[in-house]
Amino acid sequence: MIASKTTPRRDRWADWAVILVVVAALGLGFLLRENTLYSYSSFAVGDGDISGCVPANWLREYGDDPLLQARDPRSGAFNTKLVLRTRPLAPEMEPILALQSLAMERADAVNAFRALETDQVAVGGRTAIQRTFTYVQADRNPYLDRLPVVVKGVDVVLQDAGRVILVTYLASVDTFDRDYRYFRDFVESIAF
Amino acid sequence: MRKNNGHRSSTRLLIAGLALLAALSCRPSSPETLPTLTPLPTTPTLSEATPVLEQTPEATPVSEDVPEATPQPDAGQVRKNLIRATVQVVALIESGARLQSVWSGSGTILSPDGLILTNYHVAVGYNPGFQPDGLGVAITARSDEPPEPSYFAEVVAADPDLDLAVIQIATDLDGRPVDKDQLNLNYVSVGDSDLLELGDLVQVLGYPGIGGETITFTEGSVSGFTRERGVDGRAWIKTDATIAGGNSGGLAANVEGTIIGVPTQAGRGGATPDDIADCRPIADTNGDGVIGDNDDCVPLGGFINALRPVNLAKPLIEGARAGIASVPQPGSGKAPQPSGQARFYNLVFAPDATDNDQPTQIVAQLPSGATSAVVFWDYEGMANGMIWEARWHHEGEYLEEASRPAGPWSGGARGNWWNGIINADGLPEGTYKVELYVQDELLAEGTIGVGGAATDVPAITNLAFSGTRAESGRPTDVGYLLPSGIDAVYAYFDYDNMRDGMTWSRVWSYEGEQITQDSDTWEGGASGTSWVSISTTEGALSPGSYRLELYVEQALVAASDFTVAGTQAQEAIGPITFAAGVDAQGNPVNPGTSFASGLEALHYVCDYAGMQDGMALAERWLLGGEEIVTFNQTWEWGESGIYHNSIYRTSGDPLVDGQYTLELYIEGQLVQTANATVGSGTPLPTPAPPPEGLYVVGYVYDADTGAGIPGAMFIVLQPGVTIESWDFSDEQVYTSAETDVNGYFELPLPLERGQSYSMLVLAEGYIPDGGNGIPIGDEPSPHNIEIELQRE
Repeated sequence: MIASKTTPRRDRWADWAVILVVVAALGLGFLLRENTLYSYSSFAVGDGDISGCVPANWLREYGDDPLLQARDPRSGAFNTKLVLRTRPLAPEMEPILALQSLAMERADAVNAFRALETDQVAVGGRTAIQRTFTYVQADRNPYLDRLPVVVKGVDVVLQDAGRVILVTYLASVDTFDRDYRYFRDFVESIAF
Repeated sequence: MRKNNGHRSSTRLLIAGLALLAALSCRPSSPETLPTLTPLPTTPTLSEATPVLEQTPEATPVSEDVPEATPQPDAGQVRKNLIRATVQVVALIESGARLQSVWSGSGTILSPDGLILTNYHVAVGYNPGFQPDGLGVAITARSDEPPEPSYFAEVVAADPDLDLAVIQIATDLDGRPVDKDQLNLNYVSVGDSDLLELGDLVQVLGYPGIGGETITFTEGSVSGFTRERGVDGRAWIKTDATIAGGNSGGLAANVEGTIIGVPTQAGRGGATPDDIADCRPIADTNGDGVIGDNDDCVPLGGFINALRPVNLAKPLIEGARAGIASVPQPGSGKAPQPSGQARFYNLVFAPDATDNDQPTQIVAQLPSGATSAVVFWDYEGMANGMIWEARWHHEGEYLEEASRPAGPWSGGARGNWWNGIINADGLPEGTYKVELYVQDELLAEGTIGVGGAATDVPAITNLAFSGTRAESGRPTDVGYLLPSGIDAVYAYFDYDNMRDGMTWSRVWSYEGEQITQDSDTWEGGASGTSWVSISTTEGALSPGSYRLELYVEQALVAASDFTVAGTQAQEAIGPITFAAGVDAQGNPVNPGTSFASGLEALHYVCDYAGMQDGMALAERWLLGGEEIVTFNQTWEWGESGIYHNSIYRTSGDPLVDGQYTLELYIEGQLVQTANATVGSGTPLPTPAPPPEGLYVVGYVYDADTGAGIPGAMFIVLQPGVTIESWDFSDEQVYTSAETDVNGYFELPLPLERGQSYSMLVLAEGYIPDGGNGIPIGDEPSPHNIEIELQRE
């Protein structure tokens, strides 16, 4: 005799319901995790005419120059940073000049500065110039043993009337790729 | 029987799914808030640490019967700060493409922005043919390790006569200018060396070797003081602490932890006066590729037992802070050579020296209880830089604590000098002998006894001079600098223990040559005031240096020098006119007494007359009443004319705002003074003392492995801000620090005592830790804590 089992319709619906609940729960948890890890807070600087979003649990410092600096306190020996500043620009001048000035200014302040590639990128529907660079961050405090950190950074120039908006991403080379999404979200959130 | 396996498997699947969901949900539950934190440990694990960060729901009430105690730094914490404030200074020369160390000494950090006090011979050196090309500064990070080379420094103020110099940290080892305001170095405050007494404890720190050695600490007591011409107040502090020669330029501190002296000696000393300094060639100073006898040697050995009082360095320090200090160089070419055979002669003793460097009276015996003994002598054939010393003996025993240590001569080629020993409790009775050495050769010696009651030996005191005399016979304008053009000089003095009938003599000299001598029988009674005079029949007394010696019964009882300069129409130096500039003819440009802020140089102009080349000129500048610099020169501009000079900041920056005072001295006599104001007249404030409060240092460890966590951040929020209310704005952060590779951190700002703070420790991959309302007590500062973080 061959026993055959026939699952009642009711049982099949119950199985499918369990699967759906589990999938929904997993999805909900994933979304919750994403929202938690990558939640953002809005900001407005420069007399309120420049706004955007930065990671919610990053330290934020406001000032005249830079207008905003946000850094991740959990990112190890070198805090990953997002920096926002503006520079005046004469109408007839190219935005690339602002990048050049910033590079020389940075080279004078840090060690082993080296500009890497310079590209044109699309940011929020606008064309912008992006430069990648690297330098070595060394802490001269003789009372603390800190290893020099190789820092990789990106400057993006957004052109506005009479000025340029400079957005900078700085991270240790070890965490540059991991934290790049914060920079992407930051620069795409900027409105002026 | 049908088994309901479908329902059970569904249930298990549901439970598993919920469990998985729960696991995935154990991330930060809210985008804006942190999870509930465990409080910081209240019992630190370090044995020397005491609990201080306690999380209590309410403040502990203070009993009305128990007054609040003022937290006192303990000796260990004071010493730790002294250790960190002591640096090694390394003199460097460029040898091809390399920097070569040639000698090293020690220094003391006086301000958080890197101002360092050291010796002139450490920072500059006395050999004009061999000067360092740079100065390296090695910081004491840990007392059990050699100092860490960290910066290059520049000389900003120096006094070769005192053998003191102030250097300023200028660049890091990459040659990049440092932001002085961000250095935040440990430093010591400047104390008052005049408050020291015999037996007071002295702590000495420094680096004795040429390199590779750790910092040394020595304790001792103040064993004596010395005085000498050219130094106002105490010239040397003697100590019984055994200090190696390399500690020169280092730190001598009192029990309060303030600097009171600078160990200073070029390697002379030891158990007996016959010890010779250990001087070795250690660098190829002549560039012949070989280190040998043809190279300059550097004193390395010997012991130091003398400290330069820090009060002597205060003008240098103030001048360095104002940026107007002078940095005299030892001169170009070879070391100065004496003009002839050096001679010390005419040794006499006195109880003390006057403010004008003259003997108060000349004696052959001091009474019991005398607190000082001073020897005066004339000299010639000397040259600045020659090594000399005064060795005092008592009853045949060498008095190391009272002797003047070997050091460079600064009195010029010829003149009159003095050196003294002091003891506020009274000099022990007996015979004192002083030996004067130059370049290890004994040039003169003399003896004086101390003991017995004050005798009735004739005494003549307060010898002073004037070019005029009132009709009443009283002197007018008494001093030691008289205008030339006068035809007579009147010498006034007090006398005591004289007897009518005694023979007394007056000997007048000009430029070391006797010009007249008179003798008489005394008829002035036992005590009183009298005068003598000298006059010329050739128009007027010539400018120059004069001396009057008074003898009673052929014994010298008084002597004093005076200088004739200037004219009858005006003083040697005319009134000072300040100006913003000077034209080619020496006339003032934009003269005045008040100048706007931003003035780059303050000029002054004055007439002079009746001067003589070779006279000593001193320009003393004060800012806000504090001496900032003194320029000493030998007059070389003839008899009359217009003299001008200026001060400016060596950095090129404008002068700081404030009231400037200029004092001009001729032969040690003040002849002119004037004031000028720059800007509002309010000077920049001096560096504030370290802020009060509790400094926190410590470690952040991995709770499982015990390893230090690098890159962890210790955050202290502003009072009143809780962790939950914190919006991650930097404005709400009071202070923070990041751990180094060992997990070690130091909070840069102190926590206010009696205040409560919320603190938070974050590290990548670890569960945050912290707490709200942590009160700060009155424990000693700095306070060590340890924090263990759990992995996520």
